[in-house]
Amino acid sequence: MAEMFIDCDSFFASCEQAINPSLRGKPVAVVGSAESTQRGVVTAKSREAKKYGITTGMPYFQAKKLMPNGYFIRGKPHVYLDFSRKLHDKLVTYGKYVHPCSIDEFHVSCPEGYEAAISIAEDFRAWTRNILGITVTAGVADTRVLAKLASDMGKPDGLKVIPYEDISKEIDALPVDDLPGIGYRTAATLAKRGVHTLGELRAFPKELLRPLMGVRVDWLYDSIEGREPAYGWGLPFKTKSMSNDFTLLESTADEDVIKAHLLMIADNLAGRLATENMAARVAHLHLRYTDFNDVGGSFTIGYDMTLTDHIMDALLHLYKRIYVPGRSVRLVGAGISGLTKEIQLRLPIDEESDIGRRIRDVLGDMSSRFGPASIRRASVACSTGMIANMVNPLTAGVTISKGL
Amino acid sequence: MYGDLPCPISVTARFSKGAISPLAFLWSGRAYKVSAITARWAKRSGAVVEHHFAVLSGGPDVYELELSSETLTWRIVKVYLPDGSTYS
Ligand SMILES: [Mg+2]
Repeated sequence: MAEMFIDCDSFFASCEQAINPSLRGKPVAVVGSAESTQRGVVTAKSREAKKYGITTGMPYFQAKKLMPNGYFIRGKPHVYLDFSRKLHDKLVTYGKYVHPCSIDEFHVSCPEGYEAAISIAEDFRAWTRNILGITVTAGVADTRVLAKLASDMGKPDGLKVIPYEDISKEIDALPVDDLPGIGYRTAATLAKRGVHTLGELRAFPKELLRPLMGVRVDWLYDSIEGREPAYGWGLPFKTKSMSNDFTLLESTADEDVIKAHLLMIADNLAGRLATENMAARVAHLHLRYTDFNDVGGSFTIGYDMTLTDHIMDALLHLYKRIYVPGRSVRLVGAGISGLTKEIQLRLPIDEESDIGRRIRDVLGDMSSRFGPASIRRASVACSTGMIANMVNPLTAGVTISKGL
Repeated sequence: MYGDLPCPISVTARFSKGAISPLAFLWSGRAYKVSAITARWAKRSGAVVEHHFAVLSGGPDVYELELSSETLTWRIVKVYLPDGSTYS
């Protein structure tokens, strides 16, 4: 199995240089929109413009100061979109799974392995140069994260391969934030521990980072050790997450009340997952005590959560770990991340004991009796009675966790 | 020096295997032979597709030609100059 990452070099600027050959080899910055270059910011710069210190997002006047003799071109989004469509149309002719990541970036999966991936990369690179007049860089590796890193390393106009056995040799000298997905915050957290390069990260005891970084630790080490991260590509760094919280009408240390709120949140999240036809891998819990101290944590589940009781199970697990009995809580919040549309593992659901459905029935009953607007009040009112005793989904949730 | 743009023009083009290639065009009484097509792209608005071609004619200026799928007429819409500016 090989993964390939395709990334066009200075895409917008390259398109402009393809159209107008006089601009090739010159410092070109694509600026703003069709109306005016003067008011815009730099949206792309050619390889040559980078040498002047031009960066994406830089205002025109500043770029003009750094590069007084540079070429400032108004953006033509429809042209770039059409070029992008052509890139995609060409890539799918190779018969592999193609996943567009942005206007000029694509993942291509090659189950046949490295040789197939490399020959596709070579053919595609020749095609883009000859037909479109732009250059692309391809990265090939065992995983998508490393394939993207390889393409970053191979820029510009390159083909970079990181075979599994050379991962350490190839990437260990790189600063940690070269790894796609590591932002400056994570880099700063690591730097405080004396970890500046990917090699230092590899040598650092993983479990010492877990309290600081939670589940991202697994993502990190999966990435640098050449395993496809359990959550899939890029997660849980992307914004793909859902959360919900309730400030309680009255602070309480009544665990049934707290759990009833968790249940409502879990059900709300499950409903949103169902709407989006998605599943989640990670659950987050957040409690705020009356003294405004916040506690929280994340829990990664070994399967794809889709139902209320899946989420509730994970939340109860977290709850038991972080809640200090007797402390008064004023806010209950929970969320899910590691969202995916590619649901790979479904638990068999026994229709007779579908606890998730029973929980939804109870909540449905509550909201039909009290109205959706009063569901918060209703649940608090009923939590010690109906939920805890009649249906007892909370105990059931704990029971499920033993079975998994 | 170029007059008003866009401007309707006469174009000799080859249509083969789904690809359109302008070969020469007549604009303001002057004939331009296409020496190279540097880029082509499509602009879609509803069912109408405008085919755009950036072409050279021996010199450094780049001429953007447009063929409308609706009217099957050609226009010259823009000229890209060597200094990076455009005339339109
Ligand atoms: Mg790019």
